[in-house]
Amino acid sequence: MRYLVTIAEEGQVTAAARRLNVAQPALSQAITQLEAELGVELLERHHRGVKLTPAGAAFLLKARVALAAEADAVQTAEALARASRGEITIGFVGPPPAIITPEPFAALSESHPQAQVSFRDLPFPNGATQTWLAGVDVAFCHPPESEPGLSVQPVRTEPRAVVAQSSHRLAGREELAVEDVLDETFVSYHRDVQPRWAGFHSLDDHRGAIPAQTTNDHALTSLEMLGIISTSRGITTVPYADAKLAQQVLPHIAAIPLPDASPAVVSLIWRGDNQNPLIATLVSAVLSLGDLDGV
Amino acid sequence: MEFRRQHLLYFVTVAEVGNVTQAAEELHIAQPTLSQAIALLESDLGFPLLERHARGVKLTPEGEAFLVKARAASSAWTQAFAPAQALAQVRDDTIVFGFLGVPPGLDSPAPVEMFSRTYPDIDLRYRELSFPTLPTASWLAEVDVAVCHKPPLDPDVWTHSLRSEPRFVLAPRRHPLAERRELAVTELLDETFIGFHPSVERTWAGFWSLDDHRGTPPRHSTADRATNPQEVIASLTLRRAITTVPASVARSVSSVLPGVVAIPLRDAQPSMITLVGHKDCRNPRVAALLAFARKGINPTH
Repeated sequence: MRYLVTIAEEGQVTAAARRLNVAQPALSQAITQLEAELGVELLERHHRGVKLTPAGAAFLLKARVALAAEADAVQTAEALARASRGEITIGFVGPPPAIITPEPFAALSESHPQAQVSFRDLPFPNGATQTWLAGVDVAFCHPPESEPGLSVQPVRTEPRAVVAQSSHRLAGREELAVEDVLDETFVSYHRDVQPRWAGFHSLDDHRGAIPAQTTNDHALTSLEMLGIISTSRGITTVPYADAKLAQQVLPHIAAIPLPDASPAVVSLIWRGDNQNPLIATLVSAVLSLGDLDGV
Repeated sequence: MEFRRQHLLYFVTVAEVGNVTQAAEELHIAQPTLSQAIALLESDLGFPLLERHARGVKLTPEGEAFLVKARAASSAWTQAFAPAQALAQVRDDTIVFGFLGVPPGLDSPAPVEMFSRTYPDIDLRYRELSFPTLPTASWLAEVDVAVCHKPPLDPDVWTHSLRSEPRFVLAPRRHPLAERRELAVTELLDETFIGFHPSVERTWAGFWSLDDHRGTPPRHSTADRATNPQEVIASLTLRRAITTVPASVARSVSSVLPGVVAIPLRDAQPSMITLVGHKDCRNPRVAALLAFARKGINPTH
């Protein structure tokens, strides 16, 4: 299947074989076998390359639907397997959540000492949120794009801060206002990152538009973002506690409070069809703490 | 996590048949092979799927949860591979138009005729669908577009609302309510409704049993497991049960079948008749159809 997708994209069996790192005859053979199984030709062979036949295009469409359904089955199975072993995997964007908000995790291990709690660093939300959650039971971050079937529990509402290189001309300021920074160069987010997520961090919600200038490099993870900031003029905004922590750990990073920006709402996000009972335990630990206002 | 694609189909068959021996017959494989495959799938997944009993098998809670997804994946693969002939016929000048119950051209021929006049080189072909199952995109695998009451949202499909239609009650002629000229929702909530197959998407199926008004499934529904409009009609003629349908379906059913009556339902939420298609459809003709529908001269009204 991946073979057919790659050939369709490359328009050439040789180029596709190179990209897939397989021998060209093996690739041709695999496609011939698939065509035999289906009883239709999937590719039209031209002297300068190949093209999907209408039947090939139709099959590819259905196969992509099937691959997505299969990925969803795998994601569900992995969650069921973790639940049956008494495990929970908590994804996070930015610093590990237990550094800034240890209370709910402490409560979880106290009430369920046998539970296996593990943490996983996630890239910025990209694609469909439900798919982005593959591999974890719950994510801890500013909410990604909402979708039917997703559950969200706010943990703390927190002001934002600007993150900039320590030699940036704004880095010495005690505090900044949104209008001081709207026209700055912002960190560019990778094109797969959800636009609303990227836009929130670039202050698009205040500007009403994307930044006029962005960096050439595109960030997909928090560390990439910090890497870009420490080597360029680009800035971005993150929850204040995350910025403060980055400043403490990284000598070239400055965190400047941005009190008049709309706050970040650090939240737990999980798929409603995930039946892992440890999610409910974590959520009730969060609820019993009330809304933790940021530092 | 990895498992064999084939094993999904095996598991779904065992779960549906409820018995390994019969499932093996249906799959045309030996029973020990099937048992072994299921055991392998369980070890790949890391949790048990089946509880073995003397008189058959029962799903574990994890098996129940996994079945929903396994069924969706396995039917999507079946649909991708099975209709090789249908695939072979796909041509650029064809739009395959799915429908439920009444073919769009039969219900209201004018827009379809107008579309055909505007695009004489497009060959419209109709295909009857069964009730929506999840995911919506794989339910639509056989067609380019479909027209029906709004199916569940899915990131892989687009929808375009065509019109809203009031709902009607369909009841067998000897039903106590059959004499009425008009009905209200509250009078019907405690009636017995026709049952749908569990694979039919729940919110969609529930709409016809007035779950949207009741907030829960009906207290009484028949043991039927309808997967398409014909099966609903067949059940209606046999049972003392009702269902609801959009006005256009009610009209054609009651004019064709003397044993079934259609009664206007005064205060029910209307049905939203919607055009639905694949987002990444490569058929350029579908764009013409959608543009035609957007202009308001929709091809089904």
